[in-house]
Order: sequence, then structure tokens, then C-alpha cells
Amino acid sequence: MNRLEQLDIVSRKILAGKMKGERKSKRKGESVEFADYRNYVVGDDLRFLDWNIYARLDRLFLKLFLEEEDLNVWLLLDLSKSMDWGDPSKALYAKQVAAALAYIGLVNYDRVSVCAFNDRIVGDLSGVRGRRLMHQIVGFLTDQTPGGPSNMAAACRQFVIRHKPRGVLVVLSDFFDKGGFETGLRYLVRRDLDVYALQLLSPEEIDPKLTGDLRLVDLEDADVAEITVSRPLIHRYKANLQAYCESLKNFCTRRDVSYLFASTEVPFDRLVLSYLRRRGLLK
Amino acid sequence: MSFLAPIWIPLLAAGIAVPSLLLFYFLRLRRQEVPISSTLLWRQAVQDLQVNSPFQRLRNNLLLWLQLAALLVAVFCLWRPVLQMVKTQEKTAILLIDQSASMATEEADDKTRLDIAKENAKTYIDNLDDRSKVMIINFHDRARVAAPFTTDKQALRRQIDDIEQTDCTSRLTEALALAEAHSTRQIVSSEGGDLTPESPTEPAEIVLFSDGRIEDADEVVLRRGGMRIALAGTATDNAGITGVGARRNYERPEELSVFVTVANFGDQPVKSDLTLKIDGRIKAVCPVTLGPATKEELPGTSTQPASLAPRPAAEQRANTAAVPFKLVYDGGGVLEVELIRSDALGADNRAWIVVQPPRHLRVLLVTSGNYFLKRILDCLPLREVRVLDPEAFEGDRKNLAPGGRLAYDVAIMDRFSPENLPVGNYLFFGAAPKVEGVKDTGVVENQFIYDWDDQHPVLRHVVLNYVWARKWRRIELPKRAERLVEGETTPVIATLSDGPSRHLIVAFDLHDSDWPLRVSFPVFTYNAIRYLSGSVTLAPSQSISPGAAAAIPVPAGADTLTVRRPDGESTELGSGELQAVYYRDTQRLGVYRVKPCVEGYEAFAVNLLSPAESNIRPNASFTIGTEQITATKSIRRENRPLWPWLMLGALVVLLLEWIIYNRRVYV
Repeated sequence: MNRLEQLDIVSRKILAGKMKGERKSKRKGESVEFADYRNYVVGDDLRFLDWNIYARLDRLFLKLFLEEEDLNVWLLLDLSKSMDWGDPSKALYAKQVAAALAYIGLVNYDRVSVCAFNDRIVGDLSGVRGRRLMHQIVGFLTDQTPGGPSNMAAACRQFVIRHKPRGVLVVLSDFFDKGGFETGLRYLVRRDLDVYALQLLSPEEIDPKLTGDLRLVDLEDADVAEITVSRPLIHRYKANLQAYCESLKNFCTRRDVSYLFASTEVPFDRLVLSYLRRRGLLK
Repeated sequence: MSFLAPIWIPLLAAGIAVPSLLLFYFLRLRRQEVPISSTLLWRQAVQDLQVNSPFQRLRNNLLLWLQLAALLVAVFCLWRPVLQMVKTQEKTAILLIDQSASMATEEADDKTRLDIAKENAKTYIDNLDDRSKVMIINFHDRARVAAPFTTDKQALRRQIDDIEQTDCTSRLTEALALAEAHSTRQIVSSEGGDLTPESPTEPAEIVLFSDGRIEDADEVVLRRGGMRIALAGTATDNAGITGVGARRNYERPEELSVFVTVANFGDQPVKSDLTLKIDGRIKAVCPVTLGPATKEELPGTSTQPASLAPRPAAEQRANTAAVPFKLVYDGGGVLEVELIRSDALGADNRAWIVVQPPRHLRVLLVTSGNYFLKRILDCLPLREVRVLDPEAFEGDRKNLAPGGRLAYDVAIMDRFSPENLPVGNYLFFGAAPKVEGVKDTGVVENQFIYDWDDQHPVLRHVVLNYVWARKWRRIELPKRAERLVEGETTPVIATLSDGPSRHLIVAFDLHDSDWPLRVSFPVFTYNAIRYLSGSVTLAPSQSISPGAAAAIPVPAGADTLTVRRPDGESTELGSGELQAVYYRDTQRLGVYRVKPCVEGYEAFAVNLLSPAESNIRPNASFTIGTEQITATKSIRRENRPLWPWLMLGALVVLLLEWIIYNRRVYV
């Protein structure tokens, strides 16, 4: 927890918040950080005159300072049935990461909102601010149980309509949507929203250890795939997985969405403290 | 490799097991249900590989192939494969290979017994170690060393291949003598070098490759070492000609009687035709019916002393029939009798006789007076009988014997033996010819005639029981003479060939005997003239056994004779100043023709006429000396079953399959 307190969520896009937080805003306001000069006009606060320039140029200029604003941190958590798989469960892992990110935001006086979705928004906790309300987030995350099919497009649309999000949005999902992830992510691409797509996969999905003649049952839609595991099949699956992830990455990159990939095999604290820092989500 | 089980067993097992195994792979597999986060990527992979199509499932399934391999090996073992190994430990061996007439019997797969014997011999050689020394002797009634002792198996195989079939009878005497002589002193031939004698070692074991039809098996003795026999052949069905003779009616010489003896040695009755041809043209056909051969217990088997060789408990006795032909034929030529039948041995289905045109004989009687002889000669149907006294004979030699050969068919010398007898046929009474080896040493008195050869043509139907002679000449004869009638100490009647001349000697004067008063005397005279002239019956020299030497008289003025064999090959024989030459290349059956030739010797026939060879039933047990030897049908072999090794291999395959399955090594 102490180490998390030292982290802060990075927003690549400096955006205006509703309240004054600890985040720099492009809006000029009152703060200790000098931003710019302008000519003095009658009525300006004389405390902000730059007397050094007056001494040199015999003209009056007013210092401008950056306004410190709060940041909206949105955590969009995929809790479809497909996330309830793996060892450890991807859903649990995602909750842990979401909780860590929420704590970091709360510590830095960001406004943290957490939404859970499957084919729609199934859980919504908005506007939590301050460290003391961390328990609300934890309680919310604990109450959310994975289930239902995935429909990212519908869920993201609903999310955008409901919240008109601004700030930083972290989507935690496996992005295994048979309807495709593109439509959903497009809804999230906005001028004032810094989107991070964090794909979480379990080791069994990355390197399956299946053998024999199997009947694979999709957890979400009970779709059945009968396979006879063989070396070429495994190779083909891995190639397909890599291509899928690559396509997701390329899609995100083209739309200025930061793509992050993580395996649930990595302890979530290491993911947060090290990996996400390296990738620029945290500082 | 051989197989002890019928092939339908492994085929049936394979027909059931293999499709069943394949069916298991096609049946709907019991798949394990596995929940998974999403089938999105798995479906794509499956579609890419199309691994669920039925034949894809089979194509690269290592486990299936391993299971099939193990299954097929197990099915193959049901066929009971065995490796027939020849077991032998001999290091020094002598192989006797029978090439007699009975070895030409055709067995299964169009092979003759000689082919089978050769294969057995080669197999025997192949299974000896490389240090073993082997000698090859091929034999019929004579024996020859085909290959001296050698370790060169290739050379031995070549010599075996070169052994040819003959029509001769089989006699083991000479072959065993050769084998025993060589077995005590083994000499190994070295390639390209001189033969190197080695010190005598253990006697070699003798291996006989034959069908067991050995004529003289009871007469030979194995002095050293042992003998093994590899029996070749199983066929028993054969009928053949075992005897043939031709005779002209003495009073009506144009009537020709041919007597043929046919024998059936097989287990089935025989119905066939016997044809008679003269110079290739069929003259008569006679149907022949013969019953099957019978088994007969040899008499006295149980009472024989133990010291004598035990005989087989039962011997096959042929069913024989005598078939006469009577025809009017006053010419000469080659008579051929043929039994029209296809059986295992064809060599004995034909026989030939060379017959001469009937001719009335011209007889010269040289006597100083003999009523009995004159009387008898007058009664015989002769063309001419001339009587001369000895002085007249000596005085007219030039006309009586032009060119040194008597102008008469037979000359009867009564108490007279001239010097320098011309070539011819002579009957002496009370005198002996003055030829080399014959000595008249005096007179024997008051002795009895006690033995005679009643089978000889001269003595046929001649009964000498009560014939008495007061005295007869003591005549010493050479070994080549044939004693027909024996007195107590000296021969009484004998026959002798001296080159082309033939002599029949009666040692006593007819006047010193009561023989002229007995019925047997004219019969004897009649037989003697016929025998000496050879004008009516088949002369022994005109039909001989295969391998025997034929005595061919040389016509006057001829330096060489050409003998043409039945197969068309001709041989030239140089005669020089000889009166007769001996021709020994008579291994093949048929008619041999001579040019130039003496009248009556234009051709001679070689016939098998051997019941021992015609009885092709393999002799599985016979005696060599006093030892009973049982033949084996083939070289002793042992079956080495292969199924343990094959099942071990199948087990290894299954182990490999288990390892692959458990290590999840999959294609």
C-alpha cells in the first residue's frame, strides 16, 4: 500500500477536471507553477505583477500560473464469464489491478469511477474521491461477480452515453469478444479521454497444455469445439492468439489507445509497481 | 522360412483385427469436456488445420501406425513361421549322388528325383562350416569322383549341377569302394596348386542322396564310418517294360514272335495299350490290364539267424503280365515296343530289339565220319550242309574262308582242331580250338556230369541227367570262357569267344557217349547252331543294358567305325587291326547304329529292362551289409520357431507406443 501511495496515474492528455486536484490543468489559474505572461490590465491582481520585468522594460506584465485540477480515472472492468477462467482467475486478477489503480487515483485525489460490464454495464461506482473511501471501491469490486456473455460494443456504448467520460480510462479485459473489440473501443476513443487497454490473459490461454481428444466448451455461450490436440494445432492456436493480440495492438495504436498486455501469471503487484510504470500508465 | 499353420488363419485374424482397429479411430471418440474461456481462437485453429476430417485423423497418427504394426506382427505369428535349419556337425563328408534311371522319376513341381537330390546335396553343403571338407561321387552302375575333397563350396555346387541323368541301373559297390578308399586318406584340393596329401584322419561320413532303389544294397558292406541317407522322391505310380524278346519260328522263319513283359509297381490298377512298331510304323496294338502291386511278406524272415541282415518286413511285388505279339515279318529292322502311358518314369515305357531277316543257315561239318551228326543236320531246316573230311578242309581253305572269315554260318569240327582257324563260329566235338588260353592236356575218364547251366540258350530244354560219357578231353580254359556243363574235375561243355570268333566246345567224342541216343542231343545241336549263328533269336550283344560295353565286330578292311547314339551324336572308333571294338558310351536308352558294319551288326539296342529301376517306390529302409539303415526324406532339419522373436518385436513396438502416448509426443 505504501508503495502504491507513491504512484500516480499518468494522463497523457492534460484535461480539465471539475475540482481542483493535484493535476496540472491547461487552464490558467492560481497555483505556484508559473505558466506564462500577459499585459496588465486594470483590475488584475497586483500580487502577480512581475516587478523584475517592469524594472527592465518599464512595462507591467502579469504572471500566469497553471491551474491544478482533479483527474477522472475510469476503470472499465470486463466481468463477462470468460474472465472467470484461469488460475488465477482473470476476473480476480482484474479486480486486484483495478483496486490498485483505484487506490493510486484516490491517493492522488483523482476522481475514481469503476464500471463493470459484460454485454452491458452491470455495475457502476462513480466519483469516489479521497483515500478514505477506498473501502467503497473494494466493496464494489468484491460484490461484482463475473458472468454473462461479452458484448463490448454494447457495453462501451452504454458507458459512453451514461458517463460522457473524460480523463483516463483503463479497460481491463481479455478482449475475447466474438463480436469483435473494434466497435467497443471506437466508442471509447474521444478527444478528452486517455484510454489504456490492458489485456489480461491467463497462462492457460497463452500456452495451453491440452492433450488428447477434447470437447472445448465456451463458458460464455456454451459453444462447442471438438478437437484432437496435436502439435500443429497448438502451433496454429498460438499463432492465431498472437495475431489476435497484434491486431488489437495495432487497432489501439492507430487510435491513440495505449495497449498493454499482461499475463495473470505475473503477480499483480509487480504488474502495477513495475510493468505499468514502465509502460507509462503510472509514474 | 516356412509356415506351420495354413494361411487362412492369419488372413482371417487380420481381416477381423485390422478393420476393427481402424474402426475405433473412426468411431465418435469419447472426448473429455473442457470448459474454456473462449472457443474463438480454437475454432480458427481447427479450421486452419482441418484436423477433424476422418482421413486427416489417420494420416499422421503415429500411434495408429504403431498399433497397426504390433497387430500385424501378432497376426503374422498366427501363421507359425519357422526357420528350417539344417543341423549338421560333419566336418568331412563324402556325398554319393545317385544318377540312375529311377532318379529320372518326375516328382512334384516338375522336378526329377535327381533335381531333388542335387538340391538336398547343395543345401547340405551350404550348412557346413567353411572348414568342412566334402567330396562328391556320382554313380549309377559305375562311379566317378565328380569333385575331390575340397572346402570350396562354390566349386562343389558347380560339380553337383553338372551331374547328368543316366538310364543306367544303380549299384553301390563301386561307389562305396571309392568312398571308403578316399575316406581313409583325405586329400584336400587347393585352388591352382598341387594336391597336398594330409595324414589320415577320422573316416569321413558318407551321405547317400538317392531314392533307395539300389540293386546291390544287400551285397555291399560298409567297413568304416557311418552312412546317412537322404531320400529323394515320393512317387510310387509306375508301370514299365521289364522284359522283351523276339524269336523266329525255326521252321517258318518269316513268323516273328515278340514277347514283352509289362509290370505295374504302383498301387493303382493300370489299363493301357502296348504298341509294336517296326522301323517306326505301328504293326500291332495290344491292350494291357494290370492290377495293383501287392505287398508280400518275404518268406523266412522270422527264422533267419540273427547274424544275417534283417530284411524289410514287406516288399512290394509288381503285378506283371506277358504280352505276346505274333506277326509275319521276313525283313530285318528295329522293333520298338511302347507302353502308351504317362507315368512318373517314362524311360521304362519303351524297349527296342534289333532283328535280322530270317536266313537259312549254311553249316559245314568237318568230320572223318559221324553218322549222328549227319543225321541230325539233315533233319534241320538248313540251307546247306556240307560235309568235308579234315584233309579236304585243309586243302580248300582259300575257298572255305575267303578273306580269313569262314564262308559258312557254323562249322562243326568233329574230333578235329585245325591250326589257324579262320574267323567264324565253331562247334567242337571231342576237340578244342587252338586259340590262346585253351589247352588240351589229356583225357579224363570215368567221371560224371554233375552240373550244367540250364538257363543258357545252348542248354535250354536240354536234360543231361542220364547222359554218360566214357571219357572226355581235359581242357584248360581261359577266364573269359563260360562253363556250361561241369564234370567232376574239368568242364565238359563250354563256350568261348575269341575276338569275332565264337566257339562252343564239347569235350567228349560223341562215339564215347550215349548222348547221341538221347533226345537232348538233337535239341542241343539245334540250340548250338542257333546260338553260334545268332540268326533267329536276339543275340545278347544286340540288346545290352545301359552302361554295358557293346562288342562290335569290325568288318574287313575298315579302319574306323562310326557309332551313332540315339540322341544323334556320333563317335568314331579306331579299329586298327582289331577284329572287334568295344563301345562303352551306352548310358542312354535307344538304338545305336554302326557304320560300316558286319552283316547282322548294323545296330544294337540299349534297354533298361530292370524291375529294380522300374519299381520307383522310394526305399525308405534297406540294409548296407549287416546294418539296417533307414532313410530320411530330407536332410535332418529342425524348425526354429520365429514367433517368440516376432512377439518380442511387437512388444517393443507397443512399449514405444506407450512411451509416445505418455510423453504426449504427438504428431
